[in-house]
Amino acid sequence: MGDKSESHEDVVKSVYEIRKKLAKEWNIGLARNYDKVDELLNQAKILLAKMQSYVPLALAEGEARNELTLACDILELGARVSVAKMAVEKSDNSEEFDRYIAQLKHYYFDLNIGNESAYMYEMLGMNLLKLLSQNRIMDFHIELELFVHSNTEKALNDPYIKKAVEIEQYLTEGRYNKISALLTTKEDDLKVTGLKSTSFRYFIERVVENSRTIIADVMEKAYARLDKKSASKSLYISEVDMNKFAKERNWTIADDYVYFPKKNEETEILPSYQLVQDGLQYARDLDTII
Amino acid sequence: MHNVHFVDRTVTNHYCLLNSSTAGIIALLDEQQHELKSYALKKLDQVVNEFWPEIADYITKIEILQEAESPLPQRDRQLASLILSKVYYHLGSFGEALEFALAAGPLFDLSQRNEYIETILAKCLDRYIHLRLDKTTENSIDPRLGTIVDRMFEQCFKDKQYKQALGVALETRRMDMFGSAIMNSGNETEMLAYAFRVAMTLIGERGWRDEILKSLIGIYAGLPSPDYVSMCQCLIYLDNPEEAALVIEKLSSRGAESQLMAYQIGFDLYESATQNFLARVLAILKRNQAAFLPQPVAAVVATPAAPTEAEGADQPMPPAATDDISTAETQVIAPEGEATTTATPTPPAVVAATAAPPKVAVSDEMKKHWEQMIKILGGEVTIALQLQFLVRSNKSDLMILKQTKDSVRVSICHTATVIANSFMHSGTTSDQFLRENLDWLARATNWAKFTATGSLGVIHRGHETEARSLMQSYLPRDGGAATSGYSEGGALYALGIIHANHGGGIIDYLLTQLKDAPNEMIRHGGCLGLGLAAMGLGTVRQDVYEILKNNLYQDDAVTGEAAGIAMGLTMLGSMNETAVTDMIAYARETQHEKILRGLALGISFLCFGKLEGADALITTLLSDKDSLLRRAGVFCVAMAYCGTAANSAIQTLLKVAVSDVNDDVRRAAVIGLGFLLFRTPEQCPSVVSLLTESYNPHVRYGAAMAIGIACAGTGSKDAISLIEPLTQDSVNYVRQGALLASAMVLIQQTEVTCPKVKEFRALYTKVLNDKHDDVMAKFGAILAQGIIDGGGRNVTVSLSSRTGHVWLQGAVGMLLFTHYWYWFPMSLSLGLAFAPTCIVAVNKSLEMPVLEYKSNIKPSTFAYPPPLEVAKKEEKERVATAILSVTAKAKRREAEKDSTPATKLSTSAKEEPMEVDVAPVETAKEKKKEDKKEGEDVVKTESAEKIVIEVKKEEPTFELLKNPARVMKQQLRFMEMTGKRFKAIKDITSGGIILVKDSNPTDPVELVQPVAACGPKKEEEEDEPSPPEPFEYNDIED
Repeated sequence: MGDKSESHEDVVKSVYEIRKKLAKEWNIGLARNYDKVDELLNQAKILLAKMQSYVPLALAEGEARNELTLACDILELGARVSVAKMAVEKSDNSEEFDRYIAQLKHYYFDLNIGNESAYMYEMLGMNLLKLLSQNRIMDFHIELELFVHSNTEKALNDPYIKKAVEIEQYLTEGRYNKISALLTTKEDDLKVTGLKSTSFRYFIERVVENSRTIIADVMEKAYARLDKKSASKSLYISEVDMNKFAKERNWTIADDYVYFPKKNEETEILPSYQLVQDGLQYARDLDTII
Repeated sequence: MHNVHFVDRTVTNHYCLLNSSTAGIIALLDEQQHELKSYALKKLDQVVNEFWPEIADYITKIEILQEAESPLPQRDRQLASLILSKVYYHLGSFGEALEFALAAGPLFDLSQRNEYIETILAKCLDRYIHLRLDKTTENSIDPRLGTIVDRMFEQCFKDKQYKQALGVALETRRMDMFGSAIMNSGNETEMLAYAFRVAMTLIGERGWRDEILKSLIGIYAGLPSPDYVSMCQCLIYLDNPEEAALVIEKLSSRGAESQLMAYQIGFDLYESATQNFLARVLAILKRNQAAFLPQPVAAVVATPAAPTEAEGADQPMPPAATDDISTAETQVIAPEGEATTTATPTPPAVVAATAAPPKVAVSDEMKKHWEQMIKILGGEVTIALQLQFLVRSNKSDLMILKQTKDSVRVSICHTATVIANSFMHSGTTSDQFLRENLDWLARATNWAKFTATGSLGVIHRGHETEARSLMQSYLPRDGGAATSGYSEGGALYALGIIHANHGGGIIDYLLTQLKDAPNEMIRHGGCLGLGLAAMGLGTVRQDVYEILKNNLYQDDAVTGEAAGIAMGLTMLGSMNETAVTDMIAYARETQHEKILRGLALGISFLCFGKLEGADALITTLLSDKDSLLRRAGVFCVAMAYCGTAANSAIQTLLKVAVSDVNDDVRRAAVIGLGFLLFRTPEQCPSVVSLLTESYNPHVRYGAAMAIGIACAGTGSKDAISLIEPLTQDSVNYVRQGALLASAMVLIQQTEVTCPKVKEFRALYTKVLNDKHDDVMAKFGAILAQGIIDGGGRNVTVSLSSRTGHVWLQGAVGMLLFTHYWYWFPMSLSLGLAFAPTCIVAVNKSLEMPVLEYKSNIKPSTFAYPPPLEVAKKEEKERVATAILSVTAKAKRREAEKDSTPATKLSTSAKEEPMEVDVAPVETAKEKKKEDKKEGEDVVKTESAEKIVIEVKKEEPTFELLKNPARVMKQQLRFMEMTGKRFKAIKDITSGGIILVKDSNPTDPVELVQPVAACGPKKEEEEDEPSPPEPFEYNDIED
């Protein structure tokens, strides 16, 4: 056991070191080198696996508990990194983030690290927003129920969760103006309400964009053309940005009107003949049974 | 040390995943690093049994990981496979689970015993067995599958589950493992017995069974002390008389003790083998040992280059053959194609032996040995010994018959009484009842006369030496005065029964009689007699077959029926092609239903024991339009799969039993079930239980008979509980069947072994005394009385031999018996299915020495039922109180004096059970007289009863039986030899004829005095309570 425990301590030590390096790299801000961050994160994860603190199956006490907290800490950082990467790459790909959240949930709920982590609700809130941004309202509610039920008071009063719930409400009620208003809010104002995380803000953007896409989809179907002003109003978008948006969606803008491209909508043909045949067959079968 | 903080997975199965899920772990699978993936897999493996529903959603992810292209190291790929296998197992798709378990390689750990491992292992075996059996894929079995099976065997050996290993080895057809399972077990004898039993009872396919038996013979021969008895049992099944003869020859040349073993084998062969087999063994022995036998064979003796010693006689190839008997045999038995070490590899050793008969000094001793050997194999000795046993221990109760005779009024019932008499005295040669009632007997006319004469055959069964002279007055006379021919025909039939399955010289006589027969009655009897006597001779006696065929072609209904049956009997189990075509062709042609019925039986005899070899014939017959031919098909199933309990056959019969349009066919199909199941009687009641409640009385009758046949002699409670309601059935012939069946089940059962016996005996009397009951039921009751007391109460009805094999003669006799439905004389053939329950010890000169066996069980358990005493009811009552009075007296004396009476009590108690053969009533009577003088009150029942219990405690827990002893099947396991002088050469618990070794050969041997045949003389009264016994009893106690 001697060797092993020694090496175990070494491992723990090096994890702490990596943690430091990570923090340093992270704090550089937007100019940070993501390749290096990823590299460090991977190293950390492998080491965590070695010290059995990575998604362990059993509760731990004492020192081992500290190790779990460390692991949790690293994973939270990883989640943040993944969001930052999404922001930089302007991608919708949330897989990496999902993985982190899945693993973190294990720490929060199964290993009860939650209370020791300052970022639990931030992480969960981000996850909720992510779901909203992907239009997964059902998953949103499932997710919410899963952690809210145990500690309703605290969870719902947390600014991140509160915000997420609020946004969901706006979405379902169709109060898009409220959502877009969020964007215009200054970052500092948000901080006042307790929402300090920049990553969280990124997801708010995603939600707005998502709702905008939905509106745009509807517009395409509903109108052949629409005057530019009403269009930009409906989309909660400045007229300048409107041009850009129109280009993305292949809309043509002429004479202050936005023209939506005609889509060859393939009307679905009902297989009526088949249905009639089946119906007759069932009737015949019933006859023979009786 | 840190790992201690994490609860080890062996300690608890309850993981900290309650609130969330395995999502966290599964998320790890998507990480780029292999280390993390393998880490995740390890975690998953720990939780998969609880969280499989979640993991199931990500199955594709894991599948990608286990694929060969996966960059993971092999061990992790296998781990992934294992997880997948478990998930698929939980999902219930065992096919995939098995595939992945195979891919998991060594991680699929057989030493763990849980449901998953066991299920997958079972699937694995199934697949393996399937592949092994499928000849086309034999070479393409997945090696991983083979590895797992091999590991499973290893595991079995490690866990000492040899029987399981053996079973699996048989199923997977791994003869290598079969051998090692037996040899590694450390208890070869038990394992061999087990293997043999399995091979005989569970393996249905003949070719495969032969292979097993061959390898068993190899193992038997390889034992430190080769088990020749079992070896020969296998040889019988392999139909290999050459080897059997060789074994006997070898043993004969190896000194006195081995000669005893040779005799023993001879007896066993005779008991289990067909006439045909024996004939071939005899032919070989007669040829090889010509020098020792009376008839001179000059030509062979003069061959040069013969071994000099007598011992060398059987070792045909001096260069290679060693003195070691077992090695020599293994060479011979070694599988075909394997090069033997002998100088001339191609011809089997036996042929070589015949080629080079020895030129040796013919010693008198050897001469005598071979003469005796030939006699044993010829069956004369067995038949004589059994006859002697039956004659001397006849305990039949004439009172029963007398009552029956007096109470019945219809001629059918008189016929039945005659038949019942013959059953009761089967083989005892006691025709006392007939002699006492000659006037009554003379009233039998026509076919009743035929039956009455035929019944003599049953009574004198096996009394071959005097058969002709006994039957002289009935047999056809030269120059034949114009008699009706009924008694002549019956006499020929009787001769056939006497010589059934042991024709010998009588065949020629019957043949001549049949040729000259002036009328159909004699021809009928002649055909039946000839068929029985020439049973199973097949093409050895082509002339017999030809003459029977001629009789069939005369297209006479009565003759034709008998000829059809007899043809089948002669060609029994041969599946002879000409016979099959002859008989089926004629069956389609004939107008006579009677002939067709005979042929139906005959055809079925052809496929006796042929298993799947008869399938083609069965299918043709079962799909025939003619109901009688379908019935033939049903009988074919019954005979071909006789005693196998083969599922396919049971299914066929059940299907016919419920769906055929013809009642006769359905009835036959249900009866056929009995023939399939008699070796596993415990199965039968459950199979037919529903049929006993059928609306169709024919099916109910069949069900009763099936139970009777399958459970014959077992006294099975289940069987009785099914039959009992049928005895009250509203249809007369169902009652008849139920009565017959009950007698077959209850034969030789005592009230201790089966309490219902008394009720049923009473029922038989009740039925035949009941004026309102139907003749049919009465017929059944009378026959039942005969059956239950069959053979002087010393035989049982059996279709299987002592060694558990199908007993040809019994099965044939039983099937013929079922034909009584159409033709009463056929009921006599049940006599063939009576098997004496005895242990007979014989010494090397084949005589019975006086010796005793110890039966380690209370004598009352297997005692004879008490004789019937109806006329003196009063006295019977008093007999009942007698025991009470003696004990009451003892009690009173005890009150007076404490110690003295105890001794008297104990001596009388000891005495009483020692008189084994005399009914206890006898002694009780004597005491009663004594007590009466003193005068006593019988009222103190309560206290008296207590004493009775005390006295019963003192009933010895064993009894001594004299050679030859009546020992029932259930009693056999309690038997052991007593005395120091004689040692049995094989385990006496197998029963039958057993050779004993005389450890003191110089001393004179006291032999059992033979008892004259033909019933007891008047003056001989069974009253002596054999005085020496108590002394010997004390002796043994020391």
